[in-house]
Amino acid sequence: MISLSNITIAFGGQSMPVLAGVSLAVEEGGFVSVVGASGCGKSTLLNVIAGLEKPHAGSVNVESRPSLIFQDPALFAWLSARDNVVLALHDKGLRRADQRNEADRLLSLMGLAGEENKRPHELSGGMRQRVAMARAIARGSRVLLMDEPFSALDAITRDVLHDELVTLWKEHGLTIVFVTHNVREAVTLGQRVVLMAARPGRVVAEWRIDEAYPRDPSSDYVHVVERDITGALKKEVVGV
Amino acid sequence: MSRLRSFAAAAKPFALGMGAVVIVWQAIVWSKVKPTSQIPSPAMVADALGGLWSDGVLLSSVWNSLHRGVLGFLMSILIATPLGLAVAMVRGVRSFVRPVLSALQQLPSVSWVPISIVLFGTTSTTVYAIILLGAVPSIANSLVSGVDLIPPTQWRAASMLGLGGLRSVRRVVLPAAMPGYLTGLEQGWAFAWRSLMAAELIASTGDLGSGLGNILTVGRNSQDMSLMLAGVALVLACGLLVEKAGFSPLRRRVLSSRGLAVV
Repeated sequence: MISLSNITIAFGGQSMPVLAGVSLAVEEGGFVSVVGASGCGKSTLLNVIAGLEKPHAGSVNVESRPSLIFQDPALFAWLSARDNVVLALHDKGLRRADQRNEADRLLSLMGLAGEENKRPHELSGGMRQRVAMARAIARGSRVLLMDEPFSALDAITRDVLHDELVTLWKEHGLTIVFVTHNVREAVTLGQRVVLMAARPGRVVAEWRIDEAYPRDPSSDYVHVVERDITGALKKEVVGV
Repeated sequence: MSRLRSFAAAAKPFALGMGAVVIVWQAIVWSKVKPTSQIPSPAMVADALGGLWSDGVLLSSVWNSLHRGVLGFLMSILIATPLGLAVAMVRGVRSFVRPVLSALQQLPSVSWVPISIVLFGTTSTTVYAIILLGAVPSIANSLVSGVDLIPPTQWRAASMLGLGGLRSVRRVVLPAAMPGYLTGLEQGWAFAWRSLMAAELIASTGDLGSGLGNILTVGRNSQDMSLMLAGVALVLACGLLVEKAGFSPLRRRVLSSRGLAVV
């Protein structure tokens, strides 16, 4: 599980902290979406959970070493899809052939069988994001931190990846924190949606999404919750 | 067959350009602006090259200079690569070494020749010292720039993959910085080659009297313009050979493997 308690962090002499007293608990196997206006500290929150930023106050507890997935898949351009995943297996004590087999298995799991030898520039945006997910899983991490991973993709690819992510989450019992600007995406994916406000970054509201998976992003249920959250988000952004 | 065709396609513009130079050159000779003792014809320079070949000087001079240049260049890579990585990745080292590297890069390496001759005499040590002083700052500075241009997401990805220390340098930092590093290597070679020619021209006695620079010196001493131009042609040809046979394929391979445009 992930447990954040009263996290406060500020950068470079700024008087206003980026995060102020943020507390968040995600149970093992939970899927939490985080939405909020630009600059409210969503990405900083993920960096704190990942251990890339040290908070000035508060405590962070994460059950296992998390893997971060960004909007930019951050694949290594000089390596094939397979070798990108193999690199994540470097400290698993596997022989080279076993590393390759494991990488191929994970890529196949992500629907990339037959694409193992392609370089990132030869893959579509959705395929690159699948390689990034395979790489994250290869680390053996039970915790995935996703920072707007699908925001640069077209709507259809995004929908397909939503389904694949939910399947991956359930089959592997992952714990996921998913940051997004897209409220519908947050509702479609998360068991809970957390709304953050800016200046200073803090959690202001939370919704529990009880709809069963797989969810239809165009369903009435999703639409109603989306409208509710969007209204609250607008209040935070423009104060009305 | 397709490789031969692509080589022919690549060589065609070069051959056309060189052909144009020869035509203009011959036209200047025919116009008799200067006597042929000062501006010899292309045929006279070709004769001088033939003479160097039949005397057995051509190949030995080319070999001696190329051998020194390549060896000095490889030594420069061995020194500049760890130095550049240290400057790029260790803040304390960067703050005091980078300004020194930048200052050295501005200094024409020929200005080190008299000092090196006084210190080491007209020996190979002088040549290698001058090559190192010319090439190391250029290669190291380009590597620093290449590392500086690695996107933050790649650093974070390496960190998330648990890559640290030398493994991170080998698997991520050097490959990610490779386009900038390659530019540095090309510049470094150019500096090394020019430094070598400067050293061979100025110190053309002792151990050093057997390279391409010596052909130019012999030509100058005997007022033989054909011989000097033959020497210039050989210097140019060697530089082009390394560029076309070494750096061009390497650059094409590195860039195309990353989906970057290859010009």
